[in-house]
Amino acid sequence: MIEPAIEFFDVSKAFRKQQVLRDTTFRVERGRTFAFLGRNAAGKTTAISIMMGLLKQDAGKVRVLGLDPATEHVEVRRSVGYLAEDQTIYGWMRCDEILRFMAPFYPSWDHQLALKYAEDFDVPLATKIKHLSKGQNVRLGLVLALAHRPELVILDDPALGLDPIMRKQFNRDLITHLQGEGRTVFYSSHLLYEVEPVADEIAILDAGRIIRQADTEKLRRDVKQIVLSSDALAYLPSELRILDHRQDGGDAALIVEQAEAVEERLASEGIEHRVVDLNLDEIFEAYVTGKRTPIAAMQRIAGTSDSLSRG
Amino acid sequence: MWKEWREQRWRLVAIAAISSFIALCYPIVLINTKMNISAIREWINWQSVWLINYIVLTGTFLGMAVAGGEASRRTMSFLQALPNPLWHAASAKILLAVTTGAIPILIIQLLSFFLLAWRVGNIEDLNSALVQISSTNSDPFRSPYHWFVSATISSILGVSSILIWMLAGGMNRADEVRAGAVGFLVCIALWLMFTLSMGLAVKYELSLSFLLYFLIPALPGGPGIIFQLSSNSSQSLPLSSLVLIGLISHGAIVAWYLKEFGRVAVRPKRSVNTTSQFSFWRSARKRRFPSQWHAIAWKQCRETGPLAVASAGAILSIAPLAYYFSGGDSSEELGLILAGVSSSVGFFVLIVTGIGLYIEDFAPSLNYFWRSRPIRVVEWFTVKLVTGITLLAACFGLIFLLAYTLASVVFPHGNFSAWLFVAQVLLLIYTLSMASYCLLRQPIYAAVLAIGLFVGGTIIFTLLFGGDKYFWMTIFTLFLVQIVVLAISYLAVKHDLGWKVGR
Amino acid sequence: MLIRIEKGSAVPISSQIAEQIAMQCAAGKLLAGHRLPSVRELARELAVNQNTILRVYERLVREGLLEMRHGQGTFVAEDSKGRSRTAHRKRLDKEFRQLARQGIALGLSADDLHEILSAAIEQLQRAAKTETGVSS
Repeated sequence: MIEPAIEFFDVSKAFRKQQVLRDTTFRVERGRTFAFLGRNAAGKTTAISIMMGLLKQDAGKVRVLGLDPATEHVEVRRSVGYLAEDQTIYGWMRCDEILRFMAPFYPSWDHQLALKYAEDFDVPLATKIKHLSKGQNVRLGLVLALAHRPELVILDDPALGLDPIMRKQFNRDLITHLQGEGRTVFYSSHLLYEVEPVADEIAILDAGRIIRQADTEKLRRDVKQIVLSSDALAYLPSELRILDHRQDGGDAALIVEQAEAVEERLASEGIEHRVVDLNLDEIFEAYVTGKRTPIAAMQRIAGTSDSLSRG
Repeated sequence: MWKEWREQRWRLVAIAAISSFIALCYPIVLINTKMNISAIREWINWQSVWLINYIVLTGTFLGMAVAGGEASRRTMSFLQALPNPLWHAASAKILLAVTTGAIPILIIQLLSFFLLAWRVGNIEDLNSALVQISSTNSDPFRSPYHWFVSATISSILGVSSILIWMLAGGMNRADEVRAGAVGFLVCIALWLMFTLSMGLAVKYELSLSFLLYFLIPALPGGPGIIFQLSSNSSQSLPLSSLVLIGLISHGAIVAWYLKEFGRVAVRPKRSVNTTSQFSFWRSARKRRFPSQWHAIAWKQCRETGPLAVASAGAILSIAPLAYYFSGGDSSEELGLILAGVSSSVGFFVLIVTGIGLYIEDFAPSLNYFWRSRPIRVVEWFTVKLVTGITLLAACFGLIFLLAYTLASVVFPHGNFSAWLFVAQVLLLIYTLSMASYCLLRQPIYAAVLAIGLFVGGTIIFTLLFGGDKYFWMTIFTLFLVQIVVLAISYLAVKHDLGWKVGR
Repeated sequence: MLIRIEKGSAVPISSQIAEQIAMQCAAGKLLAGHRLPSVRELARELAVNQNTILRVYERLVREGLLEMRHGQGTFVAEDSKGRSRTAHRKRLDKEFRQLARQGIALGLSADDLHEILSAAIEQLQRAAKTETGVSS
């Protein structure tokens, strides 16, 4: 069996009293583009710092390309291309100088490739880094992350601070230079609609926990909103997971997982209902801030309100 | 005002603590000796030396910190956006800087006075002792309080004046180091111009020299000097006009500072292509560095190099000037001046480069850049240290060699152990400032701590190993201290220890 | 081939691409035997994951709209027009059902719904006639 590119198993991390990661578990298979979504301060950067061996987890197991980043951090960093969030590089160096400078630290560095990437990405080689614009800075970071032909590329919120045109250009670079060459890409972001076209797989991190990991397309098919009358709630299966619900008058709008199964069930019971497709933002919102009430409780509430209105 | 206090209070505490430690080191040495006249005089002399050093150092460092703090923390735009006028913030800054500078002087003077009074027995005895000193000394001490009061007032005046000049000079710069450098240069240049014109006036016996005295109160630190002169000498000075000049000049600077503070535009980013003319360089640039050592050494040269070369250049240009104006006429004298200037400048350069070794690598954003690359910390640490030392040694070694050839008579010949001792002390200063920066992550505090540790350490050493017979013991202990300091800084670099802002 | 992707839409990206290709087949803009851009090219152009594009092509091949010729690329299939029509008919069927449900919920009768539909068709035909009249 091939080892996954990244494996987190029950990882916890706390800074003093603040718990940042709680039993975080996920795997990234090789060759996939994995989007790591979460709100600001959800723990994304902390998780990435642990992968790079910049921080050590309090508990749990972390493997990156089969290595333990806490002890073999030099090896991990050699085989991983990393672009940090809002990465700053020595401002006094020129772009070609930083390339020359970083080269000897990577045994597999291909300097011709680095120069070629710099040309492809429109990085002005003879300019000092402190004079680069934000977009150029991110692309220079990308050159530094790719020139040693890493198996795995970890990008921490690269689209942050880029304008829409640059973001599209960046996505395009990502697709041609990374997916095109079969690399594993681990990509953290909070811009969902930027991630959606690019990612094979999505994990949603909230308050230090992975609350859902699924293929992008599958997630879209799996999570839907169902609108039906409150009376019909009683017919829903009790093991159903409801992510968010809103009630207005006699109607209830539920965001549910396993939408297809629910639909089938409702259709077989002959219950009047409407299915609404959701975009990724709405799905994310439902997972992160949704009101999660067990179905049984909702059925009870619906029942009491019915009895009240009857009485 | 409250915000300024919050920002400055630790600085205040640090400066007060370290300076009082240094100031009291020597009196504590003396405390067990019998309090005779010469001991009291020594005490007083020490106190004066301390005060002068304190004025210059605190004026510089505090001015640096206050002038550059806002910009280096990138909070200037926030301050600009606040609804109250900027001169409120600016005046709060001046007020607090001056208070911060003045309080340690007050504390030390009071403490010292009471200590002295306690040791001597009572005020009357102290009084008579001081009168006795004054009879042997040219300074007329009219009362025991007089020396303390006048010294206190003149040092407070001096420190405030330097602070005001530093603040105005370093206003609106991008960071503390730049602010400090500009402010310091302004002060030095003013004094240099003053001494130059004074020297010229004296040389050609112009009547201008008397007029030049009127310039003193306007110069950085000038009011203090004038006050000291007027209180100590029987010579009559046109006090009222001098005070007026001082008030007007400093008032004008303060007004300018208040007006211009915070008027800084965000410069747009521009793409500047610095293409080299020579095809040789261009082709060399395409090649990568052959090894990690090359790369790190190259980076360190680019970081330390400019400062080392600039300071060497400054020494080489100042020394002939000083030689010319001191009226020296032998090559030995030039050599001595060269050696003197280079060792006094070298002390600061050592501290600054020692701090500078990690100032960039530990900047919050860059810290994660190099840490996230496959770099072995051992290599990083050693190569940086060795390169930095080699560069400095090359620059200053050449100057010393020049001084040595010019004035070979005066230097100790073939005294290997003396050279060893000097080299070890220099190395220790360097590593000490590096270690204190690694732990504190604040250039200002680190400089203060390094100087404090160095001076304190020197005093303790003279206490412990005074005399020649402990020489090898001294060398050995220094060596041990060196290793401990290196180990501490290595661990700090490796495990990213140290006080971090915003964590 | 012009495809527009709406970011943040409720319709998944793969469905957006598939529908637009199918629409162009049905409208006769993509003729049988026409070679489509490669997965790589289209992915780069649209800035969309290659696997997504690959899945769309595979789905359309399964539906018979496209065919993959080994080593040559992806082409529009022979009877793509008819097939895309049947696919569209299926989709329309679903949409009509949805519309009918809404109409009934609004209290319209079956006759009312028929009337609305025939009025809409009539209007379109009239518009088409005037258009041809002007052009000829």
